[in-house]
Order: sequence, then C-alpha cells, then structure tokens
Amino acid sequence: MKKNLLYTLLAVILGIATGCKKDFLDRQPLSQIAPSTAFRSEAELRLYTQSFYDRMLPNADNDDKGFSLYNEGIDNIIKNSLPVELTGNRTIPVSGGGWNWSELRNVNYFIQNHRRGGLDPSITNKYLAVAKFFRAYFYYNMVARFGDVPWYGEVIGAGDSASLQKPRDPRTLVMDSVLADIDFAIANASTTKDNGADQITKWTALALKSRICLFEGTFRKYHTELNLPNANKFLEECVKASEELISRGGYTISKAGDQPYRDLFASYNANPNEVLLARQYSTALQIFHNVNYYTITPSYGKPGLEKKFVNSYLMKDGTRFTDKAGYATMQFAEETLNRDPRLAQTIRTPGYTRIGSTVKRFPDFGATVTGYQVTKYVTGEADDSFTKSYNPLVIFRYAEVLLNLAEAKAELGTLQQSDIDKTIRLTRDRVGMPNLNMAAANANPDPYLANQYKNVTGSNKGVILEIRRERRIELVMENFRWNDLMRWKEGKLLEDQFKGMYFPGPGKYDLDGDAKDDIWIYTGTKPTDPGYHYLKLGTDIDLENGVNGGNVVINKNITKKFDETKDYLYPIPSGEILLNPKLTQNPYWK
Amino acid sequence: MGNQQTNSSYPATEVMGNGQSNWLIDGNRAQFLSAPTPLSADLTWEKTTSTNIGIDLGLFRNRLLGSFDVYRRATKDMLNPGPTLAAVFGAASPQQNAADLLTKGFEISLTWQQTNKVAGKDLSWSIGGVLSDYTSEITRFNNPTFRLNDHYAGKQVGEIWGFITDGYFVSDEEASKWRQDKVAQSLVYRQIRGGSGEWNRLRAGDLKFQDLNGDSIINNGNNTLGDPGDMRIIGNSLPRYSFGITGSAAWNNFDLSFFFQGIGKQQWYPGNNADKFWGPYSRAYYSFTPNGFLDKIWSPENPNAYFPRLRSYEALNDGGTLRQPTDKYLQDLAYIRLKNLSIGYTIPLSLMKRLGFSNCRFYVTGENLFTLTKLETDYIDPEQAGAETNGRVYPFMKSYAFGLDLSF
Repeated sequence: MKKNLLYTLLAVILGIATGCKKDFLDRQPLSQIAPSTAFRSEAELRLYTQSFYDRMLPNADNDDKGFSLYNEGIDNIIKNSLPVELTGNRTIPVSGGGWNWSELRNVNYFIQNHRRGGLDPSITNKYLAVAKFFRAYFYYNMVARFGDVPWYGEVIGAGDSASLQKPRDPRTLVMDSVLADIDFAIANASTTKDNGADQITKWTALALKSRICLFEGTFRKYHTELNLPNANKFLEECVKASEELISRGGYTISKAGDQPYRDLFASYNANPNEVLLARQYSTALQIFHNVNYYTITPSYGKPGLEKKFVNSYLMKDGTRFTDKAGYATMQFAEETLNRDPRLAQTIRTPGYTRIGSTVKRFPDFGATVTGYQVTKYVTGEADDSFTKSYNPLVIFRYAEVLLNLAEAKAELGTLQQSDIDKTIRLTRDRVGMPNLNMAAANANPDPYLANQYKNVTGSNKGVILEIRRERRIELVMENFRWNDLMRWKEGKLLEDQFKGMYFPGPGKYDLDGDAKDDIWIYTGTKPTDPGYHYLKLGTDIDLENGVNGGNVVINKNITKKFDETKDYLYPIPSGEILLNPKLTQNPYWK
Repeated sequence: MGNQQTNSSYPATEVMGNGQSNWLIDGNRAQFLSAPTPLSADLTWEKTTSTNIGIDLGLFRNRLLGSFDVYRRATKDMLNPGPTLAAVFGAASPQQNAADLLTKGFEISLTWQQTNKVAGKDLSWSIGGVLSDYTSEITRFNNPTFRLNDHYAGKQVGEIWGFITDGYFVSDEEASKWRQDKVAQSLVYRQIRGGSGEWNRLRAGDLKFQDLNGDSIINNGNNTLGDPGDMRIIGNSLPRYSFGITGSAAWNNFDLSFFFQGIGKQQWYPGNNADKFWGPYSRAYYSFTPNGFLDKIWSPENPNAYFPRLRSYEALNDGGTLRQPTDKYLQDLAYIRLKNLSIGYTIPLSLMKRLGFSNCRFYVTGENLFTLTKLETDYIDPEQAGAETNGRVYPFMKSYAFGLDLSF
C-alpha cells in the first residue's frame, strides 16, 4: 500500500516535470519587449532613435552637462554670482562632474543590436545614421570638456574588465572616430528637410560636422602647447560640410517680421528656413521653459550683457563704436544711438516696448546687474509667469554654419571677399548692416578687439577679429561662448572685471532718452520723491570710483582666476581614477 | 538590506526601456524605446545560516516567565547592487549576490504575574518587558579600494560618516584668517564662498570644522576608508535596544493595561529638506518657523546657541555647512512612548442579569499619550524620522476613546 502511494506520487511528479515545455523557465514577459524580439520593424527602430533627443540635446536651463539653451553666462551675460569656472575654484569631484556615460550606452546598444531583427540595411541605415549623429555629438562634448577620453564603440559588459580598466585614448584618435561617425550620418540620414525642426536629417548632421570641425581645427591651431597635428584637416572638413549645407540644404537667413533678429527667437514656431533643430515647448502639454521670467525678475541672478561686449557692437554704418571719441564715458541713451540693430533686438534700449505692447520700458536694475537687460527670446507679457515660456529654443541654425565657414577659411588663410559675401553679408543684411570689407579689416585691425584676443596673428588678423565680433553678437545667449574662448585659448579674458553702464556719479538719470529722469542713484538717506527707481550707491549698485562715478562693477569682491596650465579642461572625478587607475588626471589638476 | 525580494517584476530577464519623452515631434511627446537595464546573468538565492541559543523559564510557580535568545545569522550571497563600476559602464551596477552579512543579536523577555488579596478581593496583575538588539556587519564585498559609497568588508551596516565641528568662529577676524588660501576649496564652505558681496566671507558665528587630515581643505578626500578626508564615522542609523513594557491589573471588576515602547539609540542626520528641523537654514521662504527657534540662532548676544549664524540654504544646497552630516547636528532618536493605556469597569454579573445583558463593560483608552525623546525638534516624530530622511511623515496621532461593550 505504501509502495503504491510512493509510485503514484513519483508518477505525478514526473508528469509535471516532463509536461513543461522546453525553456519553460526562460519564458519572456508578454507585456514588455524583450531584447531578443526587438528591432523587428522599422517603427521600432524609429522609436529607439527617439530616445536620444531629449536625453542628449541641451535643456533650456543649466543641466548637469553644463549646457543650456538660453542661460549662458561666461563673459557674455553677467549675473550677480560667478560660476566656479571664473573664480578658479573648480575642484576635482569624487564622481559626476560631467563624466556621465549612460547616454553613450544607450546609443551603442542601438548601434550594436539594431540589425538583430534582420531588417535590411537599406531600411536600417537611416536610423543608424541618427545614432551615429548622437555618438559624434556625445564624444565631441566629452572631448571639449576633458580632452583625451576612452573611446567605446560597443556596450560594455559588467564583467568586461578590459574595457572598464581602459586608459584614455588620445584626442586625435577619438576625433577621427567622431569624424567617421558624422560622415556616416551625413551619407545616410534622411535628406528630406524637416520643417518641424525636431528631427535629425542630413542637414543637421552637416551643421554638427561644421561645428565640431571648427572647434577641433581651431583648438589644435591655438593650443600649440599640446602639439596636436592636422588642425588644417579639420578646418578643411568644416569648410566642406558648411559649403555642402549652403549649396544643397535650401536654408536661408530669415528676414521675417519687423524686427527679424528678435522675431527669429521670439516666435512660437521655429522658422523652417533658418532653424535646423530646436527644442519645442507646448502649452497644451504643459512643457515650458523660463526665459521671460529669467530676464525680468531679481531671482535668477539679474542677467545683463557685459560692457566690453556691448562696446563691440558696431555703429549702424559699419564703423566702430570704440573708435568714437569719448566712447568710454558715454551714457546709455547716447551710446545706444545708431548701433548695429541687433543691440536693440538683444537688450532693452531707449524706446523698447514689449512685444504686443506700446508702453516704453527702460532697463530695470532690479532685474539686471549691468543695466543691459536681455530681451532675446523674450515673448509677450502673457508668458511672464514663472516657467510659462513656450517659444522653441534653437539648437542648430543656419547663421552659425555661415559664421563657421567664414572663420574656418580665415584661419586656413583661404578666405576671399566672395566668401564673406555669401556668409557674413547675409547675417548683417538681415538687420540692415553694411557688409564686412575684408581688405579694410586686415589693413586696420580693430585695436579694441586685438587687445582682447591676444593670440590672433598673421595677415588675416583683422578679418578674424571681425568674424569673432560677428559671431559673438549673432550667437549671444546660444551657449557658444565658453567653447569659443577655450578653442581660441583666450581664457585669460575671463579674469577681467565685469562691468556695466557708465554713470558719472550719484544723481538722476534718464535711461530712455525721453527727457524725464528714470533712476536715481543716491548716497545717504533715500530721497522720497515719487517716480524714480532708487539705487543706493554701494548697496544696490557699485560704481568703479564710488561717488566719482564710472562703470557699474559687478562682483567686485570676488577674485577671478583662470589658470591657463589647467583650466582649459575639466578634471576627471577622483573616484573614477580610483576605480580605474589607468585613467590619468588632466595636467596640473590635483 | 539584502533579502529575497526584488522590486522588479523581471529581476532576471532584460526588457527594453520605454516611455514618453519631453522631446516634442510635431507637437506630441515622442514615444521611445531604450536600452535595457543591465542585469547580472547568474542571480541565485541567498543562503542564510542561523545559530541560536535560547532558554525558556518559569520560576516561582510560574510567576516569573522568561525567555532568552541569542542568535547569530550569517547571510551568504546577499542580493545587493554589485560593486560600483566605472562610470563608463553607463548604468547602475546590476544586482548581484555580492555580499556576505553577519548579524548578531539577542532578545530577552520577562514577565511577572501574581495575584494578591486587596481589601478582600483578588488583585491579579502582571508586568513584563522585552528588549532586543542587533548589529550587522558586511563580511564580504568586492571593494578592494574601500570606497565609502559601496559596502566594504568590515563595514557596520548603518554607519554614518560626517565631519567633526569645532564650535563657532568667535570673531570675524578669526573667521577671515582661518585656512585663508584654501577655504574656498572646502566642500563645506563652497556655498558661502561662492556668494557675492560682503557675505561671501566666513564670519563670527559660522560653523568651524576640524581639519583632521591637516590639508586645510574640509572635504571627503578620496571618499575611501584609507582617505576619508576630514570625515569620520559619527554614528549609526540602525535602531538599537528596542524595548517594550507591558502591564495589566484587574481588581473588583476594574481593569487596567498599558504598553510602553521605545528604542535606546538610533542616529539620524536631518535631510536637506527637513524643514521642520532646519527652519530657514533649509529654505529661506519656508513659512513655518518652529516655536522658540529664534532663541536657538547664534548672535553676538547668544554665542552658544544651537544653530550657527543664520544663513539661508546652508542645509539645503551641496556645499553648505549643514548639508553634510556633522557631529554637532547628528540627532539621537532614542525615545520612550506610552503607546496605549486603557482602564475599564465591568458591571457585576448579578446586576447584568437583572438588566438582561450577558456582559457590560465601560472603558477609556488612550493611544500615544506621551513621548520622551532626545530629538532636538518637537515637530518630527522620533518613531518615524528614521523612515524618511526629511522627517516628512505624518506623526502618530494622540487619540482617546471612551466605550461601552454590551453583549446580550
């Protein structure tokens, strides 16, 4: 009896055990896509490439990668505090500090596995192009920040100690791989112009190549201490990419609107003629940014343009403001007269009105430390609340490519007046500025700019200075300045005292030229007359020479420092060197 | 700590990531697929070995009942995030059977129960207590460089690393001279020195730190056991010496019972948003200021106050003086609380029968009637602070109930 029971039990157990189908224990979840069944349709490939955009392209405000679509600082936009990059107080972090590789893993996973579903390259290459665009973009940013970085073309396994313990690859090797990636993207990405400016196409890839190659070419040229080869190769690649985009892309410089430069950034739709890629926002989906609020409240550092930068805007007739007698002690209403119209479309100048309003507004020292209150990107008053802006923010636009081309040719020594006529003439034309004359610029280089960019030499010195002037003005607030100064090796510029408007001393001032005084800089007790914006000297506003006047000075108590031996690159986190001793620290960081 | 549960439905099967992004395509959020979270290929079950010695006793004609238990539990192959991988890996280290853990503890319970005659009636009463404690130590983890953000062999579970303070600066002069050239590089002073204007200097009343490794920079060094900078182990977040005391008595149809509960020691450093603790040191605009808070703030007239010179955001932001754990503001959550007290009266049987009930009892009970604690703030419940780093948990309510039980 007992034995029978045992046999029955055994039979039942065997039945259950053998009744299971093969792989019963390895069944895949039904509600999710398993890697083994992914990439079987073109739709899945497209869905995967859509994971790159939000995570890898810059955000509106600063994020951990240090990028930002409008919140630029450096020496373009001055705020009431200074980032550590300008005070020399960058420290070596234990982790983080921009050394973040999760996005590369996501891209490499696609590159490695996208053929798994068996689709033909004639279908998949279009999507592989997007992935390679983003890998190039990723590595370009890593190289710009850290110099030499390890190159990884595949996903690293948790147990792959050879990859995890790899030393940094030389910058030259990494940048050659970047070039190969971006060339693949150019050859294989969709050639259909994207009027929504929200997808990567061949044209975006050309724009990225133009940006990367100008960066690398000029970095190698000016950082002679690193003895990097092939500067000219990259400059030539920049020329090639820019020229292809210009001749075949079908993009133009937009002149839409009564203030076309302002309207390019303040419009609610990315201008498809000029903008190649933009981050879009939406009231319906409640996805906003904060640019209006940023420019008009006291709580975001009170951004304002720097004085030397404002001085670099030419007169409307193309002559230099800094050649005028007494330019240094000119007051606001006078200095803003007859300047490059982009000045009045970038900051509040006399007569400024908000879009959709006729009320004239003068600069608000409660919201700007220098007095040059920024208005670029600023839309109508309806969007003024905290994070209620929803105009698109540009990531790539045609004007940059034109400026890249002019600069690359100037640095190569191949620039002709005809090149300027098809590049800088167009950005100047938009706002009614006269063209740049190359021969005149080279015959008489601007001493004001030459005194800032001290490393520019050679027969094209004059025109290179003019191209840099144009670039800074045209692309202000678009987050180019840091990389520009790094590649030009002009970090020492960041040690200068930041300044604002000129005031001869305490007193009442008319800022908008309507013969009625608007602000009152006072000492002692506050006057009680109504109708003025009051600023107490030494508390609300600092002037260079106190009661004897001078330019507004900002953060005068903070020492600025840029150590050229080490500050062009960021440090590698110490915890990473601990995990991988073959990872060497950047020079002089300790 | 490691256990047999995981918070993923598919801890051993990779699945593609998916979701909706903030990137808009044609005005809609872009849907996406993304790389799967990497998993360890060889997950297996944890193994535990327990040894314990226990004694149960009944003495004095079972008036004293007691039990005593000492245990030692070794957990092998504990499921845990694996050793931190280099950032180039690009994902969090997968869960692995990465650690071994040794837990040692004990439990004691004692109860005395007895019946006496009081005024001719029986008084039966009892009182008892339980006490338990344990500590855990990591005995194996692959962390040869002893990085502090991972486990390491010999680590006590729950240890809190922090900086040692050295009082306040007595004068502006002392403060301005302190580690002059290096002070801006100190992790703990980064916020003050990064400010603008005249307030970006150390002042009298600012917190002073001990420069334990003598490099003039107050930071966490390499964040390893060998080079922890100026950090030391300042406490432990595991609850120690948990106890309960119960008692009951019944006499002449009256009955009474109570229950106390508490712990003997548990350390907690208030999180950066623990606004009920930090008040304006966390967010300046926080509208709630704890009662009597002003008297706890340093001023030249009150140089020995509990909190330093008032600076906003010092507890909130990285680089603030109060952001990292310090010995001075480390809290002890030790507490004792009367969880329950109830008193009742049952109507005598003879009376009930005449009224037609089989049972009738009046009672009053109270919950959480009082708490004694070493925690510095009255606005965070010590029993719950350990549960959320910012102490943002609803406190237990003090409640009273009056009742009548009737059975027919």
